[in-house]
Amino acid sequence: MTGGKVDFALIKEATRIELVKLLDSIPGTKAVVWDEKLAGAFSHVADYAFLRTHDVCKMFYITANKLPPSNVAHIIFLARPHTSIMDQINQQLRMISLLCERRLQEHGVRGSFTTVRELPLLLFRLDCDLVSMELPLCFRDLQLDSDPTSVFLVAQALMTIQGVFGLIPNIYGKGQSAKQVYELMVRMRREMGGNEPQVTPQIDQLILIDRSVDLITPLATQLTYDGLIDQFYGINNCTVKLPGEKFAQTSSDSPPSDDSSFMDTKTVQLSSLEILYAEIRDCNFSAVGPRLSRHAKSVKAQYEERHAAKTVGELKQFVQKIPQMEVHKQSVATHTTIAELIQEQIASGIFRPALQMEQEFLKGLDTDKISPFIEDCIAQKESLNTVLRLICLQCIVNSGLKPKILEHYKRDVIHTYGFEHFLTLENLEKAGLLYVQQGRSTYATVRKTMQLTVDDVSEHDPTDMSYVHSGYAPLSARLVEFLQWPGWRAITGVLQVLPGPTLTETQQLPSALRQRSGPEYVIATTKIINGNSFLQYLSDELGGE
Amino acid sequence: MEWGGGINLGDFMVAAAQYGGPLALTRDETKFTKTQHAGKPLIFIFSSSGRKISSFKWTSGFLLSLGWSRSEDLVCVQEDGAVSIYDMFGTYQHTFNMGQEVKDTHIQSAQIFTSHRETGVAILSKSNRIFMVSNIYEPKTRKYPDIPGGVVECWCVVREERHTNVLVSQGRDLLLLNHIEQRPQPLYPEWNEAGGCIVEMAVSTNSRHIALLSDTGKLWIGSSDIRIKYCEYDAKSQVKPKQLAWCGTGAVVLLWDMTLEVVSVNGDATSYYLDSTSHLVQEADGLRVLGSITHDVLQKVPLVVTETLGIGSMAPGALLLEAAKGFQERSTRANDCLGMIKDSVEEAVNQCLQAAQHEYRPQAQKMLLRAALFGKSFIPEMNPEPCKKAIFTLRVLNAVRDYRVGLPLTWNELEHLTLPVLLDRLVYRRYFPLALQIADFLKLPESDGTSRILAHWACYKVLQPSQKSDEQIAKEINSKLGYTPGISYTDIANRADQAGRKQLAIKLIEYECRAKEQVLVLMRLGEDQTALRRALQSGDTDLIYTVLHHLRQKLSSGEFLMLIRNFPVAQSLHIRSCQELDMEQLRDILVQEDDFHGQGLLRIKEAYNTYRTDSHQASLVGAAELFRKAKSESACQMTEEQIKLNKWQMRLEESQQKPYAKKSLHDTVHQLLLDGQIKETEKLRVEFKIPERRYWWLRVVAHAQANHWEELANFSKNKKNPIGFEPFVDACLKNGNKIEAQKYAMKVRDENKITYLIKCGLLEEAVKVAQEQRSASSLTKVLVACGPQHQNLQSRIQVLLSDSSFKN
Repeated sequence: MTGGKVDFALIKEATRIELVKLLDSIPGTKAVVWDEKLAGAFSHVADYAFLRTHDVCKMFYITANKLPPSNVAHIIFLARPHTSIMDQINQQLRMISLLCERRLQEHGVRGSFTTVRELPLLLFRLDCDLVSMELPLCFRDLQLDSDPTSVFLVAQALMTIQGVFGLIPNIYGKGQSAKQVYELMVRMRREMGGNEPQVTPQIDQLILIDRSVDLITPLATQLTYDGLIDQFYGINNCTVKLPGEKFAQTSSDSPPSDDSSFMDTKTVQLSSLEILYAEIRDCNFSAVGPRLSRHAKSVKAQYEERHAAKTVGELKQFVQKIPQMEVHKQSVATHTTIAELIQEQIASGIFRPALQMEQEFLKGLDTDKISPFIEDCIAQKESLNTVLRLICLQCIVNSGLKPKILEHYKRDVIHTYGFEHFLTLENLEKAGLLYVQQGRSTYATVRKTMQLTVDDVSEHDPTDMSYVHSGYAPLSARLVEFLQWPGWRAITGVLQVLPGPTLTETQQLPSALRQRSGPEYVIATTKIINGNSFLQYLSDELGGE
Repeated sequence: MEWGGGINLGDFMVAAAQYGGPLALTRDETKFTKTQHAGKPLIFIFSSSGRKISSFKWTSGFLLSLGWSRSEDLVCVQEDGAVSIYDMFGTYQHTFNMGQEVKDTHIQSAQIFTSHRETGVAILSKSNRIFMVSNIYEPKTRKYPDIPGGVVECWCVVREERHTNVLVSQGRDLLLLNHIEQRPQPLYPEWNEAGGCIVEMAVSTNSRHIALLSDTGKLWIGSSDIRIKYCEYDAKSQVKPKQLAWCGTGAVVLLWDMTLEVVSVNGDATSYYLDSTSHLVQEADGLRVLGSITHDVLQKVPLVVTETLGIGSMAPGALLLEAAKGFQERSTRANDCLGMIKDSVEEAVNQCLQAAQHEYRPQAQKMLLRAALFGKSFIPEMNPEPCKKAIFTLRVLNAVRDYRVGLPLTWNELEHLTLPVLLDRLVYRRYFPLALQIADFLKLPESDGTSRILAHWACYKVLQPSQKSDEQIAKEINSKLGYTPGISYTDIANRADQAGRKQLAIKLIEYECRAKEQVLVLMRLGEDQTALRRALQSGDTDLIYTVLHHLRQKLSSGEFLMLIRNFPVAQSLHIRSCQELDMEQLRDILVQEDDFHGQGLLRIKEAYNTYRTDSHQASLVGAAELFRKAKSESACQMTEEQIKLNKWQMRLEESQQKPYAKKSLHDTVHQLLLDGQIKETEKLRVEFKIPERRYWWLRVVAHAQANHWEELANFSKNKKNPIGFEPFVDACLKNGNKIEAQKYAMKVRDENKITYLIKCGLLEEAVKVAQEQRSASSLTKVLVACGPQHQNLQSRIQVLLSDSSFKN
């Protein structure tokens, strides 16, 4: 599949080259021991078959267990740089050495690493217009630990992108970290000296947005098909694990899996390569049903064509189309099932009332009082994540809560969910998601100027991006939209209110840039998040381990 | 020659580097001469124009042979097999040995030869064995097959593709030694009359041709594998010449004291007489004759030059030259000559260009170039590049041929050497301004030209003693170098540091823009604070951790902590790493910073890392105390409440014999309610000030869950119900008791009544309420909820709906 003018497939290619460089620098057969968190991301870069061609004959995960014995020349550990993982590797190796102690003595070899190498992989391509750095803890590191590592990595990743697609002449940004990223990019460009990429610039604008500028959006529920799958089941590396029983009928023709444990979950690959998914992924969920039924009808109609086929030639044409039709049919079936699952989730529990509460908050209604709905949720011990999400949303939209209200919520949470969540609350305060009100609420101005809430939104035939939340348009996306037209100068009032400095810079380019018509966006992120994961990454449950 | 004629080359051992390189002279110990200095000999190094570059005293053993490497280093071979390398300025580089056997037996003679890429040394030991090192920068000694006993008359090294062979003349035999064969291979050159023995041989620079001279004065010229004979020439002299050398590939030159005999490969010979004792230097396309006063280049005049400049030549080039001259004189001759070469102007232009390339006098070059440009103007579409190249390159050549620089290069040699190498050689000779001018003039890319030259200059500069302060020198270097791409201030700073100028190095590294290099050098120089500051500016946390690690090892814990206080990002990174590795250190930091809140949080973490109830409680008490100190009232309050809850739970565990620990207040109350312990829950409600609303919810949910319907009913009678009756219905339904649920359904607030009645299956009642509310929408709701068993009701609703008095 090819994307628009800028295709991140090139990034994937660059990543693959780095990996191959590393593998080929070690001669002989190899076993790769994966850090489990990396394996998924790497599957986008190179699958097992590909690794096989580079002499990788065994693959394991890094666990606390011993490695199974194997007769490979090299064992490569691919891990993220965390101390805890190093401990595990150490353990894994020690188990080996204990097992093979005698052999090691025979050979007089101490089980140790020959080399430790850095594999400079920063970007993982998730789609043709989307790359992710897979750094889920980026926001946490920055806000809670003041650890600027991710800022540096982001700057490096952007330099990589510029290396592939040429220098980006115009840079806009909002937020403290955005500014830091820009400053580091300038530094790195200077460090490169004359070795600048000799590529014709293909990207003409870079917009850097610090998450802390827009804390609202991750707290709001996304109502697109994609967003809801992620919300309920969590999409990891473009795959989602779903309860298997619903799929039983549809997958009956495929051979049964050997491992019975695979029966209760079904893994579905979600990719824009699938035509149907590409069509519905960004639709508001309420528009997904009609579209699916339309597709189902067209599948049926296609099968009916066989009656229309009279001549042998026509029949042949029909038969040729069958495999394609089968694929389409399978895809319609899968997505209908997923849609059913989501529908169930929506109907049950507090999803709908919570969504209603959320939308009221986003419209700025009653944000300065204790919300009886939140109270009732706590009293019924609904999911802590939902409760915290609503409290944080109320707090931000209200530019902070009155001390009494904040106290009340905190006490309620601790009383109901336990003191174990004390640190999570601390973290939320430190991250700027919970705080005591200071001054008047600025949300009203921002909401009005940026048209964050739209009343008459068409979910089926959207004309405005607010359809993704059925009425709320993400602030960060609006920032991008306003930059395109009428420009950020028109919204200085809002930019002053939002935290952090505003950045509009032009990098000097060696050559003039070609003019283009109509913007096309590509996105690079540190990690795809939703309301659940965003808060999970910030939480610290005491005594959890 | 600039040395002024006071030198008689005959008294010296002479070595000259190819490509117009430097000369090395030292007193020939085998001759008796008058010397000013007794004792150790001096080695002098001159440029090709006789300008003294350096001299140094030779202090080691007996010097047997001198030579130059391809990179213009002086190679000195001693009798005992030690080979020392010096640079052009007499600075010692390194020494290697030809092996123990050579050391024991000593060397008869040595040859320094250059192969395609590297320079090697071959020696003949006194035990008649040949040893070779094929690259002096990576010395590895190889032994050649043994030669039978007897005097070796002469020998030489012959390259054959990648192999290096040795030809040895011994008595009447000519032997070939190589690696493949175990023993020497005899070769039989075809002599007109046999019987002589070879006393001298010379191989051409490209190794394809060889000249052999017999003791009878016969000169055999042929291919270097001895298979093809080009000619044989009788020198008619029994005296062995001083030198035998190739002039390019076309002729062999024999040098006696003052006579020079040139024998072409066809056997034609010419003689010249010289004014002084001379030395021959073989070049790829000619021969240099080094005399006491003059330095001549002997070269076969290229065909194109004879054609263009030869008297009476009718070649197009010659005619074009004539035409150009005529044009300048405003003579009609110009037109006549042009007419004659009408069809071959392009060829004529090329001939003139090529002739100019081989000319040495600028005057002649100019004349030929002018003619070429004149001719070119008649061919508008001709590629201008060759012209441009010739003009530019000739300027460069003329500049380096100047006696002040002394690099007599021919056009072909420069082509072979390439411009970057020429620039390197100029830089090596410290002609920085000239090199810069050439780079500028030729518009070379910065990384090849300017920046490379400037970097070398800077490295040289920092080594020179100077009156100026380090600051000034660093500034001076920076003002010249700026931030030219490709310049590494790290290299320059390292050079300064190696020369013992640490302060200068520190000043210089400030200009380095690659943070990693800069920080590492700063750390090595002991500038830790600056290193930390620079690492922080770079944003590279890996680098920051590197500096922190270095500092931690270097400083005491207290000093370290005091230092990083001034760098907030460094401090938070350190705290971060402590969180993972070293809790005690973390506590120290928090204590030092008077961060009571942070200490409190740490205590809370500890509380949950222990399994002992008493220490858990103690940690919490400590945390509460710290929060109070930190004036974190809400945290303090919550912690104290938790302590209280723990105490209650312990008491409950004792009285009820049930586990309550680690339960939240909510869960504790819930459990008590399930067990019917309403009195206890009341106590907890008061003690923990549970808000009414939550308490009601708790009770409703718990009573229903425990099927305490009576309790629930009693509770519902309480007048101060803050949550309404919806939860009652929901709780009953959730636990599958529709009957109980129905009891509360009518009490639900009006706006929810219809929904709840439907939930409980009380459709009749729902219709009644809807009728009272006169709401069409409520009726529709009920209608939707109707199943097949409610047909009567359905029709009734339909009738009601048709009544227009219902509001929507």
